[in-house]
Amino acid sequence: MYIEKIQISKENRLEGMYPVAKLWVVLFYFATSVVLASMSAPFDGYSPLLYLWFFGVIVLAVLTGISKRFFKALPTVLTIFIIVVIVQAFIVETGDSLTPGVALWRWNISEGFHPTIWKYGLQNGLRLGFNILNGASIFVWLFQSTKNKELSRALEERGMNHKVVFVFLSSLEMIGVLGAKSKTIMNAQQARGVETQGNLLVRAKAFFPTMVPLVLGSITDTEERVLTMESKGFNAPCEKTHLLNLKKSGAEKPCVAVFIALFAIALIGRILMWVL
Amino acid sequence: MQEKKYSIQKDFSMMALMFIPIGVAINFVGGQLASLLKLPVYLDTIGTMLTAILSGPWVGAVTGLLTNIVTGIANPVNFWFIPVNVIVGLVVGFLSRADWWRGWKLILSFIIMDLVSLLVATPIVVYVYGGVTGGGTSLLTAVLMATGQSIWASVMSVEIVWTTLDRVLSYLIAMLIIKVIPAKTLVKFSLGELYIGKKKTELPELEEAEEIVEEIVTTDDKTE
Repeated sequence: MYIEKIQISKENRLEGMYPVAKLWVVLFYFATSVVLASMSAPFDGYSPLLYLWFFGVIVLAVLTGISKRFFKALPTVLTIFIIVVIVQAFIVETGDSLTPGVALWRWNISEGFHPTIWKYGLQNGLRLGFNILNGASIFVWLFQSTKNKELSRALEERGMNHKVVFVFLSSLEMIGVLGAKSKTIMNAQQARGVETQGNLLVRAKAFFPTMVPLVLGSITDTEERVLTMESKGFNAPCEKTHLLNLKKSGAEKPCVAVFIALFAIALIGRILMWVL
Repeated sequence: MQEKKYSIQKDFSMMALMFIPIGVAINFVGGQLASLLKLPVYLDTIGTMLTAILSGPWVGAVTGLLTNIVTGIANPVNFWFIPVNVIVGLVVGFLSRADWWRGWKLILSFIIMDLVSLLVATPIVVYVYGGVTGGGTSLLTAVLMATGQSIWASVMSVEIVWTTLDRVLSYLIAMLIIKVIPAKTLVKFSLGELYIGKKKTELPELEEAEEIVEEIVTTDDKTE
């Protein structure tokens, strides 16, 4: 019997990597980031290796061929990074109440107002900021280079219950669906005279008339969906036929090996630093 | 009186399973609407509370977990707040099982949920973000920190106000939705029976019914 199967074919070998291998990459990248963050002693409190490590994920993204999507998704994370660094640098003077704060730069506007960049704050801010940036960017890489379908299928192949996989996949899809619905409802309510622009109270009042029809409509849909799924044998205790199959692209072993090696080097470096 | 035994099996009925993605999407849309309308609250736990109240703690926890994973794809900041959403789901669900969301115990439940939220969220904000997450409350926190307050005090005082407001609103929205769900749908959830309004289950008295019928009959005579 011939079953038509869906294939997702990707040209770039890194992009086509098996999703579980990508998860290992994420894990080791993040672990390396944490180790590098703690290596600040020889650099007068800064952690330049951590900063350089961020370029690791950029290199990875470029090699994977997803630069456009990757850089489109970065600004959100970068904004937070900048906020964290600025707040920490200008506000946090010192780590404990005993050591006096070291000012790196002071802007004397007036007697009482002189914004200062503190050394400890800057270092702390950069460390926290880059940790966040690295962690967030590697996840951005993961989700920009993997389709939702692929990730779910990989989880299922690894043994996850098909119901759990369904809920996961459905949640990802449902966001787009409900998002579109909510825009329609908001426009409809606006046409009916609900004010959506104005002061805070007016806007807050606009929230309820949008949410309630949205949820009620979804609940009706859910009831129908339960019937549909049961009629399609969702609960049947038998082997499921899969239309989507994942292939390994061959880049799994080398790529994961590279990241494990880098992690090992960082770890050894840290231990040496601790011992010497 | 029958002893109600709650089981995870019963909680995760088909209806609940299909409803979890809706809960996740509500959380997502709530968060989006809140920032679109420039409201200073997060509103990303409405769906969690909804599923937790109707189907118990574990369904609520799963909704919370999935919400932050899925919204984290768009904004990776949210990954670190997974524990907050999960704990809200657990607490609200357990309180729902104990039937503490009706009557005067409502206020106690609320305080418990609020406190637990704060206790879980504050360390995350402090240790991972140094107090500033880039959200609407960050500006206030930064100002407090600049005036010399310790980071813990700044974060806590800002969070107490805005998290409480956020939870109040989310709870009101969740309960409003539950009130409007028809009884025939509510019974499909494991804890739904608790929230079927009294009016829907009461039958009118016989005399009242006779009066109503008489009214209808006499009104028809007049129009002819």
